[in-house]
Amino acid sequence: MSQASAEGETPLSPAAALAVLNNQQRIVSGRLGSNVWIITGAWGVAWLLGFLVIWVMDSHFSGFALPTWLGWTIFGALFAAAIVVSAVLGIRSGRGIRSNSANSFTGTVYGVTWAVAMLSISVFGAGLLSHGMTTGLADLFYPSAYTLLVGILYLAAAAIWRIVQMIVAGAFLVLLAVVAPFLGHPTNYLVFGIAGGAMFLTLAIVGAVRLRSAVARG
Amino acid sequence: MADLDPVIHAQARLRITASLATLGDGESIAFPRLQELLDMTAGNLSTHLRKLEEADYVVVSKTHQGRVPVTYLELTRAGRRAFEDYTESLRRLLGESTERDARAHAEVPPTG
Repeated sequence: MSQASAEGETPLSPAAALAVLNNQQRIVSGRLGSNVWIITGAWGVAWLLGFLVIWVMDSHFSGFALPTWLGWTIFGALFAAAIVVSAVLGIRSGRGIRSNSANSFTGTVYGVTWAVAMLSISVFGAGLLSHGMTTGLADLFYPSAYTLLVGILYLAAAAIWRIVQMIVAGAFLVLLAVVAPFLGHPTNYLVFGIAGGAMFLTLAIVGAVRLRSAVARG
Repeated sequence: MADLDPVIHAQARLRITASLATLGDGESIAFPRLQELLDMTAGNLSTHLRKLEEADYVVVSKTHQGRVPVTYLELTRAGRRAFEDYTESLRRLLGESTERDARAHAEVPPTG
């Protein structure tokens, strides 16, 4: 192209132009989403270790007793760490990116929905407890109720932002939430830990491998 | 190559347009972040952005974050459309069938 030549650039053949285009889009998507696998991995670790700790605590293995307060503190710390990792890396990858008001509205409503969902489960559960829900039932109710809502929120995210991976994760969590109560307590915690943890860690590994191959090609 | 849009068909502007097209509809990017993603000098990036702005492919909005002025860039609807047309022209030149071709074939009844 004469215009390109006038600027001192080598004219691009269509093949070279398509390669430049694809390469650039791969680099940008890779850099903007480069943290996603770490965030997913942090959730995988929290689910795997967090639920396993509760399972060990409630299984009362002979010769090994984990105090309840310690078990739930470890669980809480692992999930709090995953929230911090998500927030910090999410903010970092969105650095310099601005949304219009329609997109911001969607993001804000979705974020607030998470808070409403999590809070409503704890109030709902408190209501049930105040009317005689046993701690045995609470051990089935809480993890399944939270997991069910997380799964549904993932599916909503998949619909809003068209992320196929989140359909897989959301559907898997919904399935896990509804199957777990049938397994009884404390086996449900073991299943949440192993199956939930494995799901997040698998997605994290797939994400990391994809990112690596994109960078290698770029 | 007559139908390749000359505004986009230059390496630097192609990379800029491709990067902006990666963002979602209604998303814009701050000048320094774009510069970082493209690994271009500020002067070079500004020059090419001006050409894209003159063609009405890119909209530049200047705002303030606290007291710091920030420039945000985003593809206009015309820019996004031009980039899609450009990509399709490239694919057609390279003999790849495109979605639009597939639709055209589907609409034309087979002859003979």
